[in-house]
Amino acid sequence: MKQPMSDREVYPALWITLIVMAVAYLIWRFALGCPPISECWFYGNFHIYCPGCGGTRAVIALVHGHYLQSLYYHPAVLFIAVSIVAYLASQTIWRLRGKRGMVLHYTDRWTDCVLAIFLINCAIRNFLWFKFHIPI
Amino acid sequence: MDKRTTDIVAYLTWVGLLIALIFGDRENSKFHLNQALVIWLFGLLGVIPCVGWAWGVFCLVCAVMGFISAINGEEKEVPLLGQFKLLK
Repeated sequence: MKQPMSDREVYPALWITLIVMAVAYLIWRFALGCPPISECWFYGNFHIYCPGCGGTRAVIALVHGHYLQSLYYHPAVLFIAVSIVAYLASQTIWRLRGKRGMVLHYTDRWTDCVLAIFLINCAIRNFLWFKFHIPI
Repeated sequence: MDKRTTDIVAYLTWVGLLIALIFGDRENSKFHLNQALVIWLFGLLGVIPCVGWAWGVFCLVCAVMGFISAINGEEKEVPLLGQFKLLK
């Protein structure tokens, strides 16, 4: 019987991914000496915004504490960051308290929400660019 | 290789997937072999700068979730990618 993913897989998977990304960041920062990040391959070749355009700027703004700016560049970045921090904090506290009290659970609807934000953001950016020539 | 080992090894990069496909229990491990193949194939899009990197991170999360599911002896579909069936 095939089932959807649950907290049993999602919780450790998120921690492992965060550790892998932290190691990758340290390699990029110290071993490679901060090489410049190339521009979007999609925009460079087709001159239209891809669903991820603005993501890098949004991550940099978020790291510097500029939350509204991050939301402006790419709303999915702030949404993902806040929901992952809330989920991991909630799950960790719940586990430390012997699995008692309120806790956030993972559902596949979260992935659908993230996908929807990516697609709607891409549609709005391209509409603003092609219709009114407003770059974001 | 027995079913469980095949399930687990399939998620250990492309090398693991190839080992699982060649030496593993292909008949009984079809679910995890298919899921790992889909994850690693879609993961190739991670070489594209920026948007591909975000996709690569998502594929990594899916691979780890599939790996844990295989360790637990369960057949759970990863989000989005789990619905694709490449192996009949």
